[in-house]
Order: sequence, then structure tokens, then C-alpha cells
Amino acid sequence: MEPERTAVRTTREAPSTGWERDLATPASTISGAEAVVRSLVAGGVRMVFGYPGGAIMPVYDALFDRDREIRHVLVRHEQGSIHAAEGYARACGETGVCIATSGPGATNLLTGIADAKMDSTPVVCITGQVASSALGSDAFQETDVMSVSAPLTKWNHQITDPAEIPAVISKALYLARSGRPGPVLVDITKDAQIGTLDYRPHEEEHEIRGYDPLPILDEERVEAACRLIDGARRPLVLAGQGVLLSGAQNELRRFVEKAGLPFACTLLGLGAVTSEHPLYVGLLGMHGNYGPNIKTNECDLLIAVGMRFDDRVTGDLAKYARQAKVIHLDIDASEIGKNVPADVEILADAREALGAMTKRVRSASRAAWLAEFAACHAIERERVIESDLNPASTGLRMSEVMDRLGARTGGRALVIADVGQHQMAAARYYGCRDGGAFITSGGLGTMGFALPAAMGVGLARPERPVVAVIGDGGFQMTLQELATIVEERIPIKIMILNNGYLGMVRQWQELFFRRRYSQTELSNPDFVAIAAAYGMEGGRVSERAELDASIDEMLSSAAPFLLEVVVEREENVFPMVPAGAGCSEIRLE
Amino acid sequence: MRKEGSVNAQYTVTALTEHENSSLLRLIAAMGRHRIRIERYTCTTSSSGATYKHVLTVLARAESLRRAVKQIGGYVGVLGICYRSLEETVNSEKAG
Repeated sequence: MEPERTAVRTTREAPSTGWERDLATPASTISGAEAVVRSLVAGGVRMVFGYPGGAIMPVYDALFDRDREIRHVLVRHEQGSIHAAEGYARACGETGVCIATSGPGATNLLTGIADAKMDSTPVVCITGQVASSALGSDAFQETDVMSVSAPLTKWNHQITDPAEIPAVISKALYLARSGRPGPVLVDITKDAQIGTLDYRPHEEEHEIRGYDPLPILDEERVEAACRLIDGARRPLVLAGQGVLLSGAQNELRRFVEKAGLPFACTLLGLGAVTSEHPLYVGLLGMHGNYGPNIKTNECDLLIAVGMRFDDRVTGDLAKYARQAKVIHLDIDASEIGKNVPADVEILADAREALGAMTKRVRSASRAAWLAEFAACHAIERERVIESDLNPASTGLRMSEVMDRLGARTGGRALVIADVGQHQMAAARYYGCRDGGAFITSGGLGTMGFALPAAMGVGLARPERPVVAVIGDGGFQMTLQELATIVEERIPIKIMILNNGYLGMVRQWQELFFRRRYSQTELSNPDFVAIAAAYGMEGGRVSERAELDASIDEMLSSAAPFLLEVVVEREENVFPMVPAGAGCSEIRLE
Repeated sequence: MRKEGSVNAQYTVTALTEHENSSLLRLIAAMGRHRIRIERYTCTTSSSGATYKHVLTVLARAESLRRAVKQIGGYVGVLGICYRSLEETVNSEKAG
């Protein structure tokens, strides 16, 4: 007779109910790894994205039978896990969580961490680390992730003592989400995962010295801002992602409507208010609309809400809105006055401050000023939009594809755009309406972001149509996540706008490097065949007459679907503010 | 012709942070990012052991240092940060 063996679990079984019992007891002795999982659940985390490896194996063992409490999504590359966590966070407002092992696992997260920092996305990264006794010994898969992640994270911490785990995980979740959101990294040595602690969920509120996530609104500054607004003849509101992060969409709408303020959105602020709103004057920035770029240098007051005067918005700072007074409202003190000096600084949550300003500001309408934006739009329509949407050429243009996507979805799909020409086409022509969203990598401009981010969006908002819009270059940076999408049955739609080039770089080479197309032409595989190889439905369209039907087929599929749209090879995106120029030096051709 | 403020000058930066190694990492990384040259650095711990006081003598352009200090001031774990020019430091020491 064989000796009795410890059962090896090969399939997922229903989790024990002992855990809930443990939580009710004053304390229970468990492993650090188990404490990691319990702390995440206690912090409200229901989904994590990750990839296992040697130094994080104890945590994976603790996750093994916890799938009723916390769903783990196995990505195919760690970069996919953090972008998915970003998409998840941006779609549902909760903190995205990803898990990776030490060394290359941890360093593969860094691009996503930098992306989340730039775009203020709440993400907690948990990385395994070699045992504390091996730290600094150049052990297998040891990397000093604390040092390399320090400048990229909102906060990072290394745990070597399992007793720290409940408080540190709780603090990480709190810091990632509160104030201006951002990425947090918790590095846990293997001995801390294996060691034991008397677990008790961390329930105390976090009081962190010097950290003020919700600054008190200064009413005098609100008053001063409203005086400027009441006295302004040509004011312009610049709405950034801070509006979305604070859930201030309705407050923004009421504010601009009461005071008759035209408003423009940054790339990340798109979707804050429907693009059909009569006071919406367009997209700011390098490839934004003509009117808001020109009028920035003609307005007498800029009201910046939850935006950071990024160089893609301002162009040459020396030529930026020198004539205007500036009101800068932001939750992050380090952003106010960083690039553009403000006449009135309001350090506050956008929702609270906009509510207070709406109460005080006088009702007004500024028809003549709005008419100037309409005149600019007419110029842009004649010289850019008309040919973008009704091209004389036979080939499809990205702009018309995005316009048709907007029409077929009613602007109510959640669109995740990658980085490049198609991103700008989507931002300009998708037409995000109430209920829709536009998610993209704005600050870092991370090619490869959209596919894994769309997975996270699809998992966060399964009831909504989700469309990833990606170029042929960016798609090939993270296409391995097709496997995750199929395995997890995430019914997102993927539109590859294939022009056979790294289009934006090629455009710059055409305009500024005498058409010397250095290393920008791509020899592409058969994308539909790749989708099929992963078990995904797909199709290809290159004819205008078939475009709507192809989009409809994609949208109506209950499964994930990849649609390759073959577009003109050398389409350029205009308008364009050339690098180093002022925002009003915008080119229409 | 050099723009005003484009020449490196000497400043003293004083930062109070939580007693965490990552505070020092972030401080130094931010200085490097803004191309601020650290000439001298001292760190003392408060008597309670809860706070680090970092004093840095740096060579920097005024605008770079202003931005760096603004950025560092927003970091989690930084309790306060300020800077003085060499002249202000000398005057302050004379007065003190």
C-alpha cells in the first residue's frame, strides 16, 4: 500500500469558507503571502492582473484557491498586466492591481508604471523579490526595483517583515487612489511571503504626515476666480483629466452653462462632457482643433481645470497665452504654476471647486466670442475636415474610419486608442458622447498600451461596448495579449488601422526630414490570420462601401473580434502645431 | 547671450522627510532629472528618529531648482522643503 500523500491540487476547487471565519477572530497566524491576498480583498480588490515567477510563487500559491474572492487574469507579458490594470482603473474608477515576479518581471512593469504616473492612474504593483538575505548579492532575478521605480511611482516600499504586510498593502491602495492618483509599488521579499504573522486586517485610517489628498478649498480664491470670470469678455475653459478623476462632469457642465464659457478638452479630458455640447469648442494640443489653439492666444482669461499645461497643449511656452489671465485649478500643488504662472491658484478637488464657482459666478452668455470659435471651425471644416471625411482618394482615411465608428456606436462605446496618427484621428473624429469614454496613453505616449488596456476596460465594464483602436506598429508591441483576451473571453473589439508605416514618425519625416523615411516602413504579417491562430474572429476591410457593414459585423459579435482596416499609406494628420512653435502657429496643411 | 537665470548658482536645499530610504532615493533622482549638481550632502535624524533632515548644497539654474523643489514638495513622505541662495544663506547666518 502506498503511503498517504499530500494531495496535489490540479484543478481549482471551491474555496474554503474558513477564511471568513479567520477574519472574525482577533488574529490568525498565516503566511505573508496569504496576508497579501487577504489584504487585497480587505481593500476591496476583486481583480488582479499578473504573471507568476520564482520570487512571487508563495503569493500565487495563496491565490490558487481564492478565485471566488479575487479573480486573477493571467496575461502573457508583465507589461500587459499593468496596462490592463490601468485600463481597469480608468474604466471603473477603482484601483488596478498587478503582480509580477522579481527581476525581469518587475522591470517589465516599468513602462506601465511611468505611463500610470504621467496619466494619474491608480495602480498598485506587487512584485516578488529575492529573500532578504540575498538582497544586493546579484542573486538570480534580483533587481533593485526600489531604486529604478522610485522616480516613477507615487510611493514605493519594500517589505522584508511579514508583519508589515496588512498595513503596507492598505496604505498602497489608499495612496494610489487618493489625491492625485498614481502608481504605487510594493516589493516583497520571498522570506516575507513565506514567514508568518498574526494577521488582522488593517482598518485604521491612514494619516500620512505631509500628505494632504483633499486640500481645503480656499473660498477667497474661489471669489477671486469668479471676479475674473465675471469681468472676462473672452474666457476659455481648458478641461483636463482631473474633471474625470474627480467625477466632476456634471459640475463642469453646470459651470460652463451658467457662465456661458466655451470649453476645450485636453486629450485625456475628452469625454468629460459630450462633444455635441454647444459650448464645446474642441480638442486642445498639437493635433487639436484650430479654434481652441488659435483662441488660446486671443482670450483674456484661461480657466484650467485638472490639467497640467503639458507641452503638447502649450507648444512654446514663451508664446503661450501671454495676453491672458490664468486661473489654475488642480488637486496637485506641484502642478500649479509649474509651467504656466497662474493669477489665481486654486488647490482643490475639481468637483468641489467647480461646484463652489458655479454658485458664485454670474450668469452670462458670450455669443460674439462663441461665434469666433464657430468661424474658426468653419475654416477647419473647409480646409481639413471636409477632405478628411469625404476624401477624393479611393483609399480609406483614418479620420473617416473613426467618424464611422462614432456614428455606428453613437459615440457611446468605450474607445481605447493606442499612440500615433490613429490616436489623433480617434481623438478628433470619434465624437465621444455621454456614456462613452476615450482612454489613451496621453502623457507617456506608450505604443502597445491599447490592447492590454482594453482588456482591463472590458473586464471592468462588461456591459459596455469596448473598442481598441490601434495602429499596425503598436499592435505588434503587445499582441501576445490576444491569448489572454480569448482565454478570458473578453468580448472587446480590436480595430487595427493598418497603413504599413509608423505613421506619425513617417509624417514628421515627410514634413521635417525631407521625406527620408528612415526605419518607419513596416512589413506586416496577416493580422486576421494571427487573430485566427489565437482563436479569435476577424475580418479585413479596405473599401469605403464595405466599411459600415464591417464595423457593424465587428460590433455585433458576442465574442472578441479583430477588424483590420487597410487605410491610405501616407495620410497626414492635420491641423498640426509644429514642435517648438506656439499653439497659434497651428498649420492646417 | 545667456538668458537670465541660465547660469548655475549655489543654493542650499533643506528637506524634511519621513525616515525611509526611498525618500533619499526620490530626492536624489529628482535632482538628477533637473540637472542639479549636488556639491555637498548631509543627513541627520531627528531625536525621535522619525524624520530625516537632508541639507544639500547644489549648483543649479534658478528655474530648474524652483521646479525640482515644487515637484519634490509634492512627494509622499516629504514633510517640507525649501531652498536659499548663497547670499540668503550668508545673510541668514549673519543675522542668526
